Amino acid sequence: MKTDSSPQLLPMLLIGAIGALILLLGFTLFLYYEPIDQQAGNTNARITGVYKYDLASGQKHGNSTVSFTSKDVPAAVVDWTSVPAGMEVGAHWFDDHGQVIGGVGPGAAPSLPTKPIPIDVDAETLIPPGVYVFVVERYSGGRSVQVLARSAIKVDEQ
Amino acid sequence: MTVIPVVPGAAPPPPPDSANPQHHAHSGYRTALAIVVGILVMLFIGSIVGTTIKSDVAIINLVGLVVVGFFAGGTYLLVIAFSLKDKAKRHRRVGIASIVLGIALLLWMLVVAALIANLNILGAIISIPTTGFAIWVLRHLNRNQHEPWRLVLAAFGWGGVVAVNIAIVLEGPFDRIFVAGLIPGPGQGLSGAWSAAVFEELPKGLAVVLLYLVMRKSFDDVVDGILYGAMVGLGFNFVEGLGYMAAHGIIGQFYVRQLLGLFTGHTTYTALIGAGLGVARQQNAAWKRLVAILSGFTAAVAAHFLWDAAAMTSFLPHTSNAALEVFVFLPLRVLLIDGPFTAMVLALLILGLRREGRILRTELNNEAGLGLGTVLPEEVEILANPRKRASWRRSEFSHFGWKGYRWLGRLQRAQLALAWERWHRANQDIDEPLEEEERLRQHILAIRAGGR
Repeated sequence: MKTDSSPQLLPMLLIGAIGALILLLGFTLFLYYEPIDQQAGNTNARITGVYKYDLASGQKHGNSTVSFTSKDVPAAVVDWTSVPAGMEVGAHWFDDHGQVIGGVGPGAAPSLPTKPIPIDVDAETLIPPGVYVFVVERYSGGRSVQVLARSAIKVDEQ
Repeated sequence: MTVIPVVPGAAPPPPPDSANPQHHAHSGYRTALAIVVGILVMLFIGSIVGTTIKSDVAIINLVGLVVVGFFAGGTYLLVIAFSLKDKAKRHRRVGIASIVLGIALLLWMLVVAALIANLNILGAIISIPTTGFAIWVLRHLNRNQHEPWRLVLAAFGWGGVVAVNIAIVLEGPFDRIFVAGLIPGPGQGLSGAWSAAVFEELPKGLAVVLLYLVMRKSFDDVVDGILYGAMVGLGFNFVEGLGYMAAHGIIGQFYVRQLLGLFTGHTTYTALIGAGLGVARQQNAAWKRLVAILSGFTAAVAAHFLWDAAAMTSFLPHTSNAALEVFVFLPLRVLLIDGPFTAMVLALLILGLRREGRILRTELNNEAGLGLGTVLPEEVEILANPRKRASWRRSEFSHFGWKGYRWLGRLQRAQLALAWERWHRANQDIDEPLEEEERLRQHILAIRAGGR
């Protein structure tokens, strides 16, 4: 079909341009949520462990684990002394979709609670099966900019 | 366009003796070979990286490397075998190719079984009818020239076996090293969408690129590109779907991947790559070919990225009500996110089919003008139009039954093949000798003479 000058090139170019626009928008959004210049530094935080949590008493029990059932309430303990005192930090639980489902902060490390940080859930609700991630983050300008520690757990159906 | 007069009984005119006079210097095969070597090197490096970072899929990567080797060799042998004229030789080669492909298939089944420990055979069984139906529909969309089954199925197989293997090798280490280190939330979701879009479209696209480079006679234009691209995507969708069914439940994933997303999703994404290559096939200038190919790849990656970004982030509303999510939100997302890209593919397909109709009309007219009896002047308009061809076959059926229907089908296929052969020769872009054209003429005359 080389007898025509450039068949279907224009519509194809238009489709490619729409694609390029989408990719550009996606990349800009990515840079907004993951600013490259903010992620430097060697600071790490220490997550002591993830435990089963008793909502009534507010206490953890048993040993640290990564496997839970829907009936359990997981809670993480952070050693805040592992983080520089002046640093603005926070710690949150995230579900499969990256939604925050519990946590503390942001604030200066010494001001944050040393007690277990559970997934937000009431006594009657079961936690849906899936992978949940607990992340200690550094904040800058009110936004989470760097991961200082993370711990993943798996919740299975009971 | 060059019209080559052929007089019965007279020797055919000498030059050009080939549609592609420079076929010895054909660079497509060298590029294809370089791509295959590149794929193997990529798999090897990916396997080593996977092993170094103790990726779960490291062992599968290594097995995948062997599978790719067997599948590539088997496909090559099969394609070559079917091009042999000698029946005995052809059967022998097909036998050898079948054994090689059988080994690849067996190894792949083992890989899939290892990857998805609780693989449910039921998932594969219930997906075969829907995917088979999609293959049939897509092949028949190319109404002016049905592509050979061996190439259609080879494209499907490459999508399901080779592309899936490469995607596993590339995505695993990237997600482990880069994506997993990001803050959960929109940034990580977007990054995961990038990873899936780039590392899945690249290997799928390479399969279409290989067909574009090696099977030039069967890869004419945007219509062929869309067909082969869609086939690769369909193969990928089939195998990936098995994994999702095992992990997240058969019924739900069957609904998403074999009903809602059968012609959208991967099928559409890779069809966009194929469309770009098909448009490139029609261009004279190298820069235009490059622009068309890049446009196809960009559109495919963008479409895939958009779908995954919507699934991996909370930009679009999701609901915890399962029925609402499955029957309202999910179809809406398919319609609004993948739908426009599927519409783009359909628009390109319609443009391509119309153009094919014009080409057929020109070539058939020229052939009819020779007065050889291969194409009669009154047949030109019918042959150039798929609906009129079908109507003529139906009319033949009502008068002469299946025998007449099949006879006319054979005649029309041979006449169209001759028209395409003439067009290829006019463009000097295939390696067939001139005798092939004459052989087709004799074939048509024999069908006519043989009667119903």
